[in-house]
Amino acid sequence: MNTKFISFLTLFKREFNRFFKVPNNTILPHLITTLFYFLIFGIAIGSRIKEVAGVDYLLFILPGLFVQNLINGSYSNPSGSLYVSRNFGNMSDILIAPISNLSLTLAYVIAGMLRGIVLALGTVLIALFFTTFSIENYPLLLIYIFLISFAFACMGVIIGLWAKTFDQLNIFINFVVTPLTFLGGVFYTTDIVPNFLATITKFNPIFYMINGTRYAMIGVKDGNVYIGLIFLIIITIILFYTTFTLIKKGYNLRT
Amino acid sequence: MNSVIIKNLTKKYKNLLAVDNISFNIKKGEIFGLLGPNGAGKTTIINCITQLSTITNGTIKVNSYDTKENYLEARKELGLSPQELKFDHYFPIQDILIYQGGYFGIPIKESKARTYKLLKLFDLFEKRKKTPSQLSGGMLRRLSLAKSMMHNSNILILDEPTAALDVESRHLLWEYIKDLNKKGITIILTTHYIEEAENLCDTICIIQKGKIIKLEKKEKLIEDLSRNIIRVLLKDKTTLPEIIKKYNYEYKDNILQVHVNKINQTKILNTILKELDKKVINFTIEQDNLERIFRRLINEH
Ligand SMILES: Nc1ncnc2c1ncn2[C@@H]1O[C@H](COP(=O)(O)OP(=O)(O)OP(=O)(O)O)[C@@H](O)[C@H]1O
Ligand SMILES: [Mg+2]
Repeated sequence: MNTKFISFLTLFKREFNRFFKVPNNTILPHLITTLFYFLIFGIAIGSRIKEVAGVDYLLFILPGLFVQNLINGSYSNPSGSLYVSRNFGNMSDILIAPISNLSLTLAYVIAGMLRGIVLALGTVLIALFFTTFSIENYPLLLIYIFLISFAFACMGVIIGLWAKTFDQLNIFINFVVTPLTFLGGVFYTTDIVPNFLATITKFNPIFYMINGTRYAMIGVKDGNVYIGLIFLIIITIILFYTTFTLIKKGYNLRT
Repeated sequence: MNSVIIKNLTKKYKNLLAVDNISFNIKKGEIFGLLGPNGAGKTTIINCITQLSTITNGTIKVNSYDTKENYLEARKELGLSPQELKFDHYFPIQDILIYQGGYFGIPIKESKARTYKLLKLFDLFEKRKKTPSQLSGGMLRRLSLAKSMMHNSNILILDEPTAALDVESRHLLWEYIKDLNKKGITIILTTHYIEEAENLCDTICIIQKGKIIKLEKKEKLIEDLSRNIIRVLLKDKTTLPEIIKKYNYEYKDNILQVHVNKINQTKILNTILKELDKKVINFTIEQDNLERIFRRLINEH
């Protein structure tokens, strides 16, 4: 095997193994939260709501929770890992090794994507206890999964490099991702909420991610899926370029 | 042949000038000692060589690879045991070493074999399943050394390798460094134990405030700068002959002390014995050592 590929693979494996080492931090809490969403919104309250956009409410909220976990996992892995490595651990081991800037970027990003995907699949598994469904459009779903996880893994690298304190790591999740997810139509369609909320929603990038994923998963949509896709592709490219540039410059990595 | 060529290296951290336009070469196969007081810039120079720091100005070539243009090739040539002991806390130490081999492109099987060999060599095999936080300070130092040797690099940089090591481990490490060096590995070493540098190094580079104040083969440095003391015990109060008063001397309570260097030592001793002849009860020569030379140099600058 090519030595460059071994370097990449080793770092990727290290990143991937790290989150399976600490499942109590990296996997279980998210899935437990998801389980509660299904129990409360799907079963308890959902039984009153019955249908939204022509589907069972529990099924309606599934793609939103799927995307939320995909984002969380993809973001948290590189951000947490880089932050800890930079401040307490093994960053210099990696920085002195012959790993190219591109390999370094991709190892963190792809490992992050996989954590996102593991959490997203976990979401589906939990949903299968409550409901059944078949995927509407596999290729489109795969494209959405790829782009969302890729974009947020890049975001994770960026924040993981930037953060000076542990709190700053979570700022992005707590003050950006979580509000935008909840206002991104996880639990509602724009036609059943007041006008101002519908308008806010339409300007929310995460709305398009959820909307597209929902369409690909269960065939229900609340806005143009392809505009969302183009938008997502552009964001992904910008984020990747930024990530790669920061790594190349050694931003907060090399003194 | 030079292993490392440093040209006009300057490193600034914001407005702090840590390394001030220095140039020097490290020859292939030598043990090169970087000495200097705390904050002199030793670790900074090392970080510039290993690319952990970016260079403000100048160039560094490692086995002819420029650390900017051929950054990956340059890194392959180097192994580093950093001054600061920081490790990957998620994994047992055997995994840390196996990963380190992998980062340098070593296939997993080979990396495992090498890990076991080094764990045994550094007496850490029993602890292989423990994480770094479960090791003692000296064990962590040994782990750091093992880690730096995972990929069999041509150049090994050891930043204060014997800090925290007990006497036995220190001597074992010295022997091992000498063995590696005999196999042709170039070694760059920093230490605050001058005795260690005296014992190991071929070349000594003394740094202060980011500048080189002395760079010399060890023997030559000691020869040039040593100040030995000839100490003569005299029978009774004697007035010293004029010729002896010309030397750098102290005379108190029948004891005459003359400061000499390696070169003029024999001549001066002969003169003293001739001039004072019968009045001499006995004499000793106190040999200078690198530590005293080092302290004088640092204080002069
Ligand atoms: N990351 C950094 N940011 C800002 N200043 C730094 C940084 N690293 C080192 N310095 C400064 O650069 C100077 C040289 O430090 P360096 O670590 O190279 O010294 P040293 O010779 O290795 O000292 P020691 O013997 O204590 O290890 C010091 O003044 C130090 O405060
Ligand atoms: Mg230092």
